[in-house]
Amino acid sequence: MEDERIVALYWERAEQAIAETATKYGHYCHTISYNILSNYEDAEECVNDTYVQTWNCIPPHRPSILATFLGKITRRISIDRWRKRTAYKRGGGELPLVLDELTECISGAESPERELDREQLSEAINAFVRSLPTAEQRVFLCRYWYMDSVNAIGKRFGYSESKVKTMLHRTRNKLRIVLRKEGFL
Amino acid sequence: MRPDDILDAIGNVDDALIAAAQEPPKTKPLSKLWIPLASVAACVLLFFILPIVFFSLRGAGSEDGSAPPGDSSEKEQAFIYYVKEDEIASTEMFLPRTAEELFVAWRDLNCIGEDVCLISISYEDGITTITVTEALKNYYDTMNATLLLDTLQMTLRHAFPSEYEDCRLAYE
Repeated sequence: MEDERIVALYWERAEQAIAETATKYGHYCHTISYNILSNYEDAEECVNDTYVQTWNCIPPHRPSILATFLGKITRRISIDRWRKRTAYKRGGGELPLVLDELTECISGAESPERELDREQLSEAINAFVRSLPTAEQRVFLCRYWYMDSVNAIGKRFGYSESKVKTMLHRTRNKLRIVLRKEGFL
Repeated sequence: MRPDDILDAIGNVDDALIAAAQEPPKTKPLSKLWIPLASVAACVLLFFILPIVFFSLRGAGSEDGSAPPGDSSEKEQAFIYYVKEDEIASTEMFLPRTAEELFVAWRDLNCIGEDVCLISISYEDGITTITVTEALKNYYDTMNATLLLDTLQMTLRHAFPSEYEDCRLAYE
C-alpha cells in the first residue's frame, strides 16, 4: 500500500493503518531497534510502542516520508529503553560502541557541564551531515543513526571494515572541529 | 556535553538524508575478489583473440612469403552472388579472400568465359573503380547487365564491406 494511503488511514482513525504499517515497515523498525538493543523481545516491544506512538501522532502530523517518521520514533524509544536497562547493567548491541566512538567528538571540551542548546546542536549536526560527501554521509548515518555494525556497512557499500572505520574516524574528527567552531565544546 | 547529546541530535537529521542513507549504492566498487578474476579473464581473452586477429590479417591478402607455396592465403567463407534466371542468387564458397579469387568465382558462376579478367581495382575520392576487360560487354546481350554488375558489386562488398560501399565499373 502507498504511504499516502496508510497516512490517510491514520487520519481516518482506521485500525487497518497499524496492520499496513506493520506489514510494510515492521522489519525496518525491528532492525533499527534490534541494532540498539540486541534483544529480539525488547526490539519487538519497542516496535509495538512505535505503532502506538504513531497512532497518537497522526493526526495532527502528516509525515512526508513515513519510513523515517517511524524510524525516528523507533530509534528514540529504543534508545530510551536501552538507557533504562543500562541503569541496572551494561547492555549489548551497537549502542555502547557508538557512544564510545562519539566520545571522541567531545574530547577536549572546555566546559562539559555547560547548559546545552539542543535545538542549535541538532541544527549544527544536520548542517554538518548535509555538508559531507555522499559516501561519507551515508556511512555516517548508517553507523550513528541506524547503528548498523561496521561489518554490515562494509557489506552494504562494498568497503572493507578498515575502510569504514577510517571513514568514520575522519568524519568524527571533522565533526569535532565543527562543534568546536560552533562553540559547543 | 555528553555523547548522548550528539546521539540525540543525530536523531533529528533530515528525513531525506536518513532515507537516502539506506538506499542501495548505485555502483558497487570492485571487490578484491574481482580484480584478479578480471585480470585472468583479460589474459584468457587475449590468448584466444590475438591468434585469431593475427591469422585473419594474414588471410586478408598480405603476402609475407611465410605461407606454403601454392597457398598464399587461407581459405575463408565467402558469398558469391550471380544471376540465375533474371534473379540474383548466392552461394557459399570457401576460397582465399582476395578480390581476384572472388572475381574468378563470380565469373564462373555467371558462366562468363576466361576472356573476361579483372585488370585492376583502384580507390579514389571515396569511389572504388573495378576495371575489367571490355569482353564482359559481350555477355550483356544474353544477361541482364544491371543485375550482373550488381552481383559483382555485392560479392566484393560482402567480403570487404568498407572498401566497396561505393564502386563503379570500368572497361579496358
